[in-house]
Amino acid sequence: MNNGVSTLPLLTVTNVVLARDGRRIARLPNFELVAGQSVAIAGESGSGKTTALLALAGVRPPSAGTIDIAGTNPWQLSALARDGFRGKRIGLIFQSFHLVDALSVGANVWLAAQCAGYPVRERSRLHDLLERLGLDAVQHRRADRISHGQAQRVAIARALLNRPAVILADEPTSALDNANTRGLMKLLTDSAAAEKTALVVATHDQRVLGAVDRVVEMEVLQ
Amino acid sequence: MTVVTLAFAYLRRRWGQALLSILVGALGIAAVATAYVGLDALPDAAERSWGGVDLVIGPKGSALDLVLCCVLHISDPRGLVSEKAAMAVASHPLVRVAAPIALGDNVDGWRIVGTTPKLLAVYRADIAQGRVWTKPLEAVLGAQAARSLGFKIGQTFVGAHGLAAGGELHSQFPYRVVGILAPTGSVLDRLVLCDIETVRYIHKKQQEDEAAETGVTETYVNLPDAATAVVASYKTPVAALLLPRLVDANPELTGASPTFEIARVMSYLRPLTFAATAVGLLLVAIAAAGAAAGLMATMNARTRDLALLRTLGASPVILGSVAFAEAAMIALAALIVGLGLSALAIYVGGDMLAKQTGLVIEPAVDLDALAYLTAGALAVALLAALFPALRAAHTPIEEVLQS
Repeated sequence: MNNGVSTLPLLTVTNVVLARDGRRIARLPNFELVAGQSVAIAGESGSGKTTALLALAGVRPPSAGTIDIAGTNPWQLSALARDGFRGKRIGLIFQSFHLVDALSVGANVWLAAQCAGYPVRERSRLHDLLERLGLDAVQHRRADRISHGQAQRVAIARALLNRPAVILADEPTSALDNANTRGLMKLLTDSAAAEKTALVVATHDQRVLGAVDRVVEMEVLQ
Repeated sequence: MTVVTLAFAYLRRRWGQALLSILVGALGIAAVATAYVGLDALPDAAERSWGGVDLVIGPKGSALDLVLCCVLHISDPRGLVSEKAAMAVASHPLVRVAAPIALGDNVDGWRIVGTTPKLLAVYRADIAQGRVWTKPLEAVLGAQAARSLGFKIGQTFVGAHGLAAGGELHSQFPYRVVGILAPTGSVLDRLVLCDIETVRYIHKKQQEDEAAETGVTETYVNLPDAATAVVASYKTPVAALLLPRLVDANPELTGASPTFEIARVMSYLRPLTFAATAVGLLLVAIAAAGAAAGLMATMNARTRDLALLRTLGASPVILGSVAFAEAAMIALAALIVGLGLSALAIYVGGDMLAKQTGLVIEPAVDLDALAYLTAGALAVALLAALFPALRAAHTPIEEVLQS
């Protein structure tokens, strides 16, 4: 699914070892993604997939190895700079979407730009994204008053808004039936391709594995 | 922008709790503002009311009663003095001008004051229409009295006995309006002036009639130059040091300074100001505690949102600022509502005061005090938001990804 736009890697993972409570729990196989490429990090529950995403997102440090996102190792930045880097260069999609119920659909998506400090002139992109994802009709509706499918698309729009180098999705299909899983994965991979972004999906859902360019399996260290 | 948008959205979500904090805080702010602005405006209202009167000389008794009765025209007279005796003291070289006054009648509740044209000089009042009285039963109306009564030059009216409306009418003594005063801003605007001999004559006749029926002879009959008091205006402020003592030295007379007596009254009212302020501050503290508890409770429920903001790149400072912004919005809303309530209370209270006493309070907008009040309200809000903000700033973002 590489569109061949750029061969420069947006995400490079090298010898990353993950730890929990001071104990090494898993190794993340090396891989590299360019714009538009996708990878699934597969493994059983408790295999360290979410911990791997935390490391890629600059939230929890790996105990060894390097992570390079668009030429920057987030773990070499200060905590404050890493927060800023995450906001600008990494799009996150959570299993339960994590929308702010108090805000409207549009405000939830725009929150990504505001937290990352993007200027107001980027607002035209918000409208483009909402339109492209079929959310323009519900953009003023509060987030707790939309359907599950709409909430998925809001989470994707929020992750895409800042044109991140990498989108990290944590178990995005865990509660979906087959048709919706296919639809969501197509939306994610198509969006990543259209936005020239690399996509990483952490999943134990076998249905996802066929929808991505490659699959890496967590190596559990016991 | 993120901070304000989020804070406002969160407030809307818990509007009931926020409204309660706003109302309690507003009541506290209103109590403090009303106590200070309202009670500070009272001495100014009294000073405007007493006009040019520096000294009032009346019968031996309470100086405060004398001021309330004969300067502010709020209470009833406690006795009479001989005009000759009082004017003898008031003819001191340090007195610019003095005039006797005799009370006892009213027209529809507006006091009729028997006096001499020198009273106009005491208050530095001018005739706006017509002329000053020159004969018995000619009346000159203060500006407000003329407006309220609707009397015109040449119109006649009958006075009633007593200082409040509803007394026995002196129907055989109709007054004729010969002049209307220009507004002075003082109590003179609310008085109906006439020749002092007229008042003496009407009351002497009334008391003679009563004596014929009861056999009791009263003051106006026994004291031909009876007056309720003499009001005087000083030539120089130095007179204030000397003349009241000089009057008090007379065994029949009391000298009262409106400035001194009103200051004394205000010193009695000061504890009320402190009490109102203390109650107000207590309400503000309760509102702040309520807001802080509400924020803490919502921070617990909001851990997920706050962690999400961190993952979106918001710094801990921004997370903490959301709590501060919520508290600041509550404080500013409470400030606006509180000042509105205070203005309403002062307006309604002032209106009642004006109707009952004629004192017109004109509360001044003190920008410095307003700035201090705003800063104080924000400081309380920031204090209330401190712990919730610290909690928000230290939200562990791993909770979101691992939940």
